Amino acid sequence: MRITIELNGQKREIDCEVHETLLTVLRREGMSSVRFGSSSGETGASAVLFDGRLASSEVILAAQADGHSVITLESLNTEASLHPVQAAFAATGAMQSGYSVGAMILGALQLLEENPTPTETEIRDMLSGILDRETAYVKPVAAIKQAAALLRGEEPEPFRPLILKPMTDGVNAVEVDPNDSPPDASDAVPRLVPSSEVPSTSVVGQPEIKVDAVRLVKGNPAFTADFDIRGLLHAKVLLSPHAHARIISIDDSEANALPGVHAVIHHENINRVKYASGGQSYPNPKPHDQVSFDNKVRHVGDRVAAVAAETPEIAQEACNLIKVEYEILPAVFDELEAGKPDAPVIHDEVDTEDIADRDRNLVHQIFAQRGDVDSALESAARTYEQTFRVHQVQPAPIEPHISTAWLDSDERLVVRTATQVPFHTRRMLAPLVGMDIKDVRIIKPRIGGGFGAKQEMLIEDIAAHLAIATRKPVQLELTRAEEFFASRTRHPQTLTYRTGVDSEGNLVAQELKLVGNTGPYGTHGYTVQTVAGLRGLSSYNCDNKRFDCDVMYTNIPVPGAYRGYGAPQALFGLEAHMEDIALDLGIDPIEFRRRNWVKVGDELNIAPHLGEHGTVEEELDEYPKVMSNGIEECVAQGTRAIAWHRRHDESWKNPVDRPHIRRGLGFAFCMHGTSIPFLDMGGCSIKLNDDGSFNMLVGATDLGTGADTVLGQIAAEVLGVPLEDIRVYSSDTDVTPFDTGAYASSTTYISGTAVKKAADVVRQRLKERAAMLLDIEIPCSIELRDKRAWAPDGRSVSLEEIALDSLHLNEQEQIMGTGSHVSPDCPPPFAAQFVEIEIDIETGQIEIIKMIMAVDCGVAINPVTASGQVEGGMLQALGYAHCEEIVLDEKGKMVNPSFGPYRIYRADEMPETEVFLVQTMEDSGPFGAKAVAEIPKDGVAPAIRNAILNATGVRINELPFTPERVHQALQRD
Amino acid sequence: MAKIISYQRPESLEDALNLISQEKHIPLAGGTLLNAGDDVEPLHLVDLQGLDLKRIEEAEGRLQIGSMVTLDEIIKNTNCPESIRISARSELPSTLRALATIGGTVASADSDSQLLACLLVHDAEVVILGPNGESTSPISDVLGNLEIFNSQLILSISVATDGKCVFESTGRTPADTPIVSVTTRKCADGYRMAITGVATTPVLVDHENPTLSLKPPSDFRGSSKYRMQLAEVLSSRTLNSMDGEN
Repeated sequence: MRITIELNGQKREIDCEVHETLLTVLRREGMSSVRFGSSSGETGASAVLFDGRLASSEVILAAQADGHSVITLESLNTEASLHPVQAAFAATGAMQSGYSVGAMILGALQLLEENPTPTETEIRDMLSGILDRETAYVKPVAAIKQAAALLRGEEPEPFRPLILKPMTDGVNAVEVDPNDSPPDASDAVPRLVPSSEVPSTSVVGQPEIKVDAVRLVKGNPAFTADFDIRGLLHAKVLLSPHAHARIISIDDSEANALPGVHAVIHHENINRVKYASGGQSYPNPKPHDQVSFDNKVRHVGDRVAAVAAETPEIAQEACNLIKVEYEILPAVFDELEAGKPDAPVIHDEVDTEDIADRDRNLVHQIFAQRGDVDSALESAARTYEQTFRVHQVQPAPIEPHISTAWLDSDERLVVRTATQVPFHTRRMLAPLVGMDIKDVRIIKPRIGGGFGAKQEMLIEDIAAHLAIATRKPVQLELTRAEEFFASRTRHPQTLTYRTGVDSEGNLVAQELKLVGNTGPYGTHGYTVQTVAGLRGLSSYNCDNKRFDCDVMYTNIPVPGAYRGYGAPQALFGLEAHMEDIALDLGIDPIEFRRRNWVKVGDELNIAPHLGEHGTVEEELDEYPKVMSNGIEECVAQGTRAIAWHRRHDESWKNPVDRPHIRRGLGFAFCMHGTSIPFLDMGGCSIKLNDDGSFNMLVGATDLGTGADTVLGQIAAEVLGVPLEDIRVYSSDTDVTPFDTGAYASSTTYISGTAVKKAADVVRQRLKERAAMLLDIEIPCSIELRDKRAWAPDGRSVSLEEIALDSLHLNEQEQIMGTGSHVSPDCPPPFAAQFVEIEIDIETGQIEIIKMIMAVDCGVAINPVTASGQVEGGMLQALGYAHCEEIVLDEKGKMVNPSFGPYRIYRADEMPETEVFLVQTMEDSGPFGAKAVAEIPKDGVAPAIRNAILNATGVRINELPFTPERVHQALQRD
Repeated sequence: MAKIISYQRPESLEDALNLISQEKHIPLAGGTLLNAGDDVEPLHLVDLQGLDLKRIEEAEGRLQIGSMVTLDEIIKNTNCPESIRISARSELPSTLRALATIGGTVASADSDSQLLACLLVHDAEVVILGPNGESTSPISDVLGNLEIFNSQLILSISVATDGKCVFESTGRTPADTPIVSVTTRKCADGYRMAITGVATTPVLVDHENPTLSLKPPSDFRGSSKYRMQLAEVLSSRTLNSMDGEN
C-alpha cells in the first residue's frame, strides 16, 4: 500500500506493507534516530512526535500514520550546530549509550513548546515512557532544565562538579554534627571531594563533553541496526518450548519451501564444534558444553534452528513451519534440587569434558582457604550463621542483541555486532564457522547498553553460519522477549555465611558457602561464583577465611555476566550479615565494620587464591595490599548527606500523621575490584596528523560508559592538547589493537594505562622533534602544553609545525606510538551506600526515598561521566533489590518476558539520587584512577535490607523486596 | 507482532459496522495492544480513526467522551473530572498515552486498569452501536460481556462529573501497575467503590463490605490471600480518607 505522511515538515509518499510499523518505515526512510526497543513500545526508544505528541512508533502501523505528521530527531539536524536541547543533553552528560536520546530530545521539545518552565514532576512525567538503564534519568532531567533555561533566553550555570571540603583527614573517622548539612545542589551535579595528594591536571579531571556527543544527540547512524547493507537477509531463531528435551527429529522441508527463505540451519546441517560462550580470556574456562545447534535443548528458549529470509516475517513464518519432534525430559530449576539423586542429568552427552560430577549436575567445585577456619570458629567468642537467597534478573539493555554478518569482497567474514568483547568474539567465532582468525573481522559500533549481557559470543555464530550458508549479509536481532529468556541473566545463588568474632568485635573467622545456579551452560558460571567468593570475603580483615562453592547445572534461562559479576549477590549477604552481627554485639553497625574493614596497607588475603583459571592452594610469599582507601571520607560525606542521626529518632521513624508508615535508614560498605590482575590487557596506538591532532586507536569497548572520552582525556593530558584534538576510534579487530573488552571494571585502569604509555611514546618523539626545530640539546627539558612544545627559555613550536616538519620536510617519519598494559594490581575502589526508605506496614510496600553513594574511585578522569556511571549503577541495583525478577512457571517458561510485568524503574518514580566522588591517589592507575563502573551495583540491596531492619526490626534475607514478601515477613515477625 | 493481513479505514459508522461484522475483522483504536500482540492468527484491521468519535461534550449533566479520545486528550481536557484525568495519566507512560484511547481501554477490560475503576465509580455508561442500532449499558455490564465487541462499536463513554474521588494502591514501585487498587467516589447519593486486581476485570463493590464475595486471582505479584488483604486495607483507607478521619 502507499501512504502519505508529513515527515519532518515534508510530504512523503511511501510504499509499505499493511503489517509494517511506522518504526520500520521510518528506518527505511533513513531516520536512524528512531530505534527499536520492544514491539510493544514500552521502552520508548522508538518515540517520535506523531501529530505533535510523543508516541512510540513501534505500536503505530505505517498505515495508521497515513495522513499524519511525524517529526523525528533528524528534523533538528539542518545545520552543523546543535539545537539548544541537543546542546543541553551534550553539556550535562545526559546520554551514555545515547540509544534512546532521540526520543528524550523530542519529548523535551514538545514539553518545552507547551510549557517553557516545566516542573521536575512534569519533566519526569514526560520521560516516564522512555526507559533508561544507564543514566537513572538524573542527567536527562538536568538537561531538560538547562534546555528550558536556554530557550527562555537565560544563561544557565555551566554544568560542573560541586567541590566540597573534605570532612576527614582521609584516615580517621569524625563525628558528624547532626545540624550540619551539605551545600544544596542539583541531584545531577557530582559532589567532588578533592585530595591534596592529586597533582593538578588540565584535561584529566575535567567534565569534558563526550567525544561522541554530537553523533548521539543528532541521532546519526551509530548502532549496529543503523548501517544499511544491500541485499540484507533477516534471521529468526526457533527456540525451544521445553525446559529439557531431546530432539528426536527435525523436518525443515516446509520451511525451506517457503518463498523468500534462503537457509534453514540446525544440528543436522551445522558442524558440531564444542565451545563455551562466555566472553573471557584464552583459554576459555571449561567445560566447553555448548555447540551452535544441539540435538538436545536445556531450557525454554534454547536454540533449535535458525532461518534466513528476505523479511523478518518470512523468517518467523518459516520457523513456525519447522516440525520438531521432542522427547520431553524431566527438568530441574533450583540449585539446591539439582544435585539430588532423582534430578535429571542435564549434560549426559559424551563430548563435554571437565564437568566436576555430571551425574549430580555439579559443574564446578571451588574451594579456597586461608588459616584454620574451623579452629578459629571453635574458639571464637561468638559465632553467627545466616543463609541468603538471591534471584535471577536480566541486564535488560534497551538495545537488544543484534549482529549483522557478511562475506566481504575478499570473502572474509565480517560481523558488525553489539558486543562488549570483539576480540574474544573473533577468537571464539572462527572455529565455529571453520575459518581462521585472520579471516574474521569483528566491528563494534556504538552499543545501546550491555551491562555484561553482551560479554558473550551469543548470537554472532548464528548470523555468521547463515551468512556463510547464503553467501549474503544476514542480520539477527533479538526480540524483547528473547532478550529476557534467550540471552543472559544474573546467577541465582544460595549463600551461607558463618562468622566468628572475638570479645572485642574483631572478626576471627569468616566462611562463605555458596551454591550457584549456572543454568544449563557453564559460560561465566565458574568465574561469577569465584568473584562472589572473592568479593564476599575481601572487605574485612580476618586471618581465617574459607570459600566453599558448588556450581550447579539447572534448566533455567542461561545466567552469565551482569555488571557486578557475583559481587552484588555476595555483598547482599555479607552486608546484611555484618549488620546483624553488629546489632547483636550492641556495636554501632558502621563502627563494627570500621573495626574490621581493610585499610591502607592491609593485605587482600584471599584474592590471589581465587583466580579466573583456578584456585591456588598453597600460601604465597606476598599478598596484594590496599594502597589507597577513601572510605572514611565517603562515610563522613554520606552520613551528613543522609542525616544518619535520624536512624535513632523515633518521632521521625514513626510519623504520627501516617500511622501505617515506618521510616528507616540503611548503610552498606562496598569494596570492588579494578580489572583482573595479570589477565586483562589493553592496547593503544596514537599517530600524529598534519594539523597537530592525533588519531587514537584503542581496542577498548565503549558501551556508553564514556570510555572513549576518558581514554581521549588521558591522551590529551599527556600530549598537551585539548580533547577535541584526539580522534578516538575503538574496537575493530582488523584495525585497532587488542583489548580483552569492556568488563571487570578495567577500561579506565587497564586501557587507560595503555593509552598513557602510547601517548608517552609519542610525547617523547614530539619533544625530540621539537628539540631539533628549537635547536635544543636536551629534549627532556621541553614541555608540551596548549598544543605547543615549550623550551625552558620560553620559545615554542606548535605541534602542527612539528607535524608538517616530520611528515613533509625533514627526516620524514610518522610520529606514532603504541602501548599495551596488563596489571599485577587490582586496586579496590570503596564506597559508602546509604538509603532512606518508607515502609507501609499494612501492605508491605516499600518506597525508596533517597539513595546516596559516596565512592572512592581514585581520581575520576571525568567526574560527569563517572557520576553518571554511579547513578545508572544504582538504578540497576535498585531494581535488583526491589522489583526486578525473572519468574518461571512450573515448566520453566518465563511468565513475565516484557517490561511492565518485568518491572524496571521509570523516570517518574525514581528516588532522589546523589553521588559523591571522593578523590584518592591510586599510584598504580593512570593519573590516579581506579574503577567506578561496577561498585554502584553492590550496596543498594543490603542497604535497603538494613533500612527495613532499622524501620521495623524485621530481617528479610531474600531478594527482591516485593510487597507480598515484605508483608509476609512483617506478619511473621 | 500481530499478523495483520489487511487494513481499512472506514469513514462512516455504517461502513465500519459492515466491516467488523466480517470474520476476523477487528476494530483498531489506538493500537497499543493490538499492534503489539503476537497472535499468529491473521487479523483484518478496521481502523476507527476516520470516524467522528473524538469529541468530549457535556450532555444532560454528564460528560460524553468519544471512544477514540486518547488518554493524552483526557489528561489535557479540564472539563474531564480530575479523578479521570489522574487515572488516565497513571494508566500508561507518556509514549503510549497519545495513542491509547478510552474506547480501547474499555474494550481491553484489563483487570488492573485504574482508569476503568475510575469510570466504574463515575457511573460510566457505554454507548454502543450494533446492527440493531444504538444502545447504552452500564460499564460494569460491558466489562463482563466483551463478546459484544465482535460486531458492535463503542461510540462513547458518558460519566457523572460530580463528587470527589480518593485512590489507594499497592504496587512493586510507585508507578507500577498496582497489584490491587481501590478507587472510591463520594457523591450526593453516597459512595461508589471499585477495586482492581481482584477479579478478571475491575469491579464495583459494596463500600460497606468491599471484599464480600471477592475471589482474587493469584500471580507472581500477589497471591489471592494477599490481594484480599490489600483490598481490605486499601478500601478502608479510602473511606477513612474520604471522611477525613486520617
